[in-house]
Amino acid sequence: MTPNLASERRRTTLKACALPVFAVSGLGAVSGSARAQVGDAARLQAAHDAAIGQFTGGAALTPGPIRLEIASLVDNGNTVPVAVACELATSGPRAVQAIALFADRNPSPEVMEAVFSPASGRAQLATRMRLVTSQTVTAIAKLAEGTCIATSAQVIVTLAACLEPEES
Amino acid sequence: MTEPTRSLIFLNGPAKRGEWLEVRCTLAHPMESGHRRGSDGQLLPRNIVETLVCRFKGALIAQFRLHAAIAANPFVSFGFVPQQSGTLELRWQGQNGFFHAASREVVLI
Repeated sequence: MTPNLASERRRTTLKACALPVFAVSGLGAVSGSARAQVGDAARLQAAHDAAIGQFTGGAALTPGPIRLEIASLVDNGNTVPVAVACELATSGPRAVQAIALFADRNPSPEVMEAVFSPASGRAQLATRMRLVTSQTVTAIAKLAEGTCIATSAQVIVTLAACLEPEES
Repeated sequence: MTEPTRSLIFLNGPAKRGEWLEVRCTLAHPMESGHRRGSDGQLLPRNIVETLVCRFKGALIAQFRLHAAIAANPFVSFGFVPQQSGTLELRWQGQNGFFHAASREVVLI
């Protein structure tokens, strides 16, 4: 990463000397990447909201008896244990039909969807997920009656899930 | 010379009639996210397990849709309520025709 930033700065300095007005493409490395982050955050948030809307079918997210267990500080984003438990039954009028997990700053927001049956007994699951950066993880339970209950947790990630080339 | 796919199914607790029994399963699979680059700088193509289907005595218990955000060697814990002894079957399916099935006998005590 460092060599690229250094060469970008050199290119930016030369361009700044040549042009009195900064062209959009000539912005400095720091502000350019900050602008890219803002753009990315908006795009990721939109994808995240769209994915949630696809799962909920447009139903609003309401608070309810759903619990999301995930560490608030994560050492290694490559494997983060996460557990979801919803105290409602898996059969009956207010049964939990499905539970989904979302992460709002991963390259893709979806993590997992679980569909239960009356034989499930409990709407409870656990898995291990990847987090590329500090972000908010959301668990949503879709009930048979069509409503959705949700909860979220903020997670700080120290070491991001592997986006770097592997060392062979 | 591909090795057979390995998986582990662990029943967490005594299996009692009408009581919830936790099932923990792990599958050996890289869950390549499609965002990593190899040593040549090229993106490694996405190669993930996409579904896990669980049946007990042939009846569907639960289904899971996994995405690239699931960590490698996907671990899933869920549960069910057995009313009889029988066979618990797990089936994983993924990209590039990946398929793996494993089962575990559940004996009620």
